[in-house]
Amino acid sequence: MSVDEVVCREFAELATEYLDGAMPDETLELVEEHLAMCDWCRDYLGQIETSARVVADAPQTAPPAPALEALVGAFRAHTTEDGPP
Amino acid sequence: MERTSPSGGMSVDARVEGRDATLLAALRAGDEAAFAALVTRYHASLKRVARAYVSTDAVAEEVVQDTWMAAIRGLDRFEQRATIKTWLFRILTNQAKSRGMRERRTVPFASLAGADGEEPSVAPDRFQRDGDTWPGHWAIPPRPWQDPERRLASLEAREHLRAAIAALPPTQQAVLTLRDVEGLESEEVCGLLDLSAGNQRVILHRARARVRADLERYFEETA
Amino acid sequence: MIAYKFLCAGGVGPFSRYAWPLPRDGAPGTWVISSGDAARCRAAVHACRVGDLPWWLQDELWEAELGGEVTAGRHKVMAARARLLRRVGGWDAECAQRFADACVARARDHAATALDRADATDLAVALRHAATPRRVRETVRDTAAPEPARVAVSMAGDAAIRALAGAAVVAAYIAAHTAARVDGPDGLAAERAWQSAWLRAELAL
Repeated sequence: MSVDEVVCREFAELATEYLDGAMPDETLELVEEHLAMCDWCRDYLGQIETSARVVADAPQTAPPAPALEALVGAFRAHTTEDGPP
Repeated sequence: MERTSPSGGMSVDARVEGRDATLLAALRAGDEAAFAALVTRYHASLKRVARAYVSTDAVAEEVVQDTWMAAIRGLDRFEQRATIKTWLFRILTNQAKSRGMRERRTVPFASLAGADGEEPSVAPDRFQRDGDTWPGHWAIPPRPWQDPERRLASLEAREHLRAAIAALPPTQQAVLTLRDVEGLESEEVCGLLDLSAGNQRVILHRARARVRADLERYFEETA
Repeated sequence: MIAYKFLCAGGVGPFSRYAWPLPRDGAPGTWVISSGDAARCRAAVHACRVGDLPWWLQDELWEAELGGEVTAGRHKVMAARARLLRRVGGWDAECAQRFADACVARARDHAATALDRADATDLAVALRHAATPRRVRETVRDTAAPEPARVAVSMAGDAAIRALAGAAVVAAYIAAHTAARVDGPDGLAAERAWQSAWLRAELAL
């Protein structure tokens, strides 16, 4: 390639590195030049950010009730064993 | 540059430390409700990380149980040099590693559907090809998402998101869980999972890219 | 050192999303100090020389003063600190549109050169006659360009489409790459230099 630049297909692999601030300066320059003119890649970047954010709010499966009971029982036994101070 | 938190000048670290100290005191005093809440809070994340080391869901469940047993035993010795969260995940990865070895899993963590040459994060047909006017540029660009948080608020959407995460390869689930669900820093995650910074980032990116692609389809189907 | 900054509406950095302190009552904005080494792209304050402007077009153009050590990047300068001096009022949406339209005419002419070189002189003449972006878009659509000129002509059409959507920075990029398609890296550099000269003259920089 005669032109030194980062294009969309490359940026699509670099978005997380960019967000982490882990990109070497030489690549960062090229990426910023690209983002300055590519609203599609800016959208993609925003969607990666959003995806990273929303997974934190995804519902979490709960521990199975018998397993939880067993653990609480073990916890109780362990702390009673040591006795009050 | 200084980072100040909105709540009167206390750093994020100091607040976590304070909450941890309160929780630790409650646990050491035998507060069963606090313990049950802790187990419930971390169950899903612990299991996802365990699942990256062992061969079945059932075994991952056992690893999590063993982790809590070890945590109970180690509670008295815990010195708060790390957060409770980090401490729990350290116990977990140790338990998972030895269980994984006992299962005679010889494949190291990092090469499991992780960083090695795989298909790219975005389907190649989304980009223009050699011979097109703009090789490597978007052919079918991402469509802007309108108010994604609101559209993900419904029960159905949240269940869809949970399923999308569960469909990721185990290694990607583990890294995504530690970084984006649990908010651990890159270095911490590398330490926990014995990954280089580069590998960890590639795995995280693949995970996020799959979630993005899934959400893109979901938004288009439910538009 | 005097340099320039393109910011989003309201004086907000396009990457940092940082709200720059604006000049008030004739006084410059307060100094913004970077967090680290001015030679490190990530840590420094960024600004443009006139020659850099076409890469960074945004809503607002500001004249800025740079302080401390200044390092040159590829198409920008990096400094330890900077403050905004004045808004370059001549740069507005209407000026951006005129610039975009000018870039389309340039892309069109480069594409016409490609048609000439491919011995499609009639097509070249027709394309050069397209006086507006709309006409360029239509003409490109109706042109069956021979293979050596196909991509350049398609590029000119894309420049027109993007200029019609008001995307000046994209039209400039396309014009530069159309020039590169026809005249190689030297063509690209010359095109960017033409763009900078247009902005310098138009905005009296």
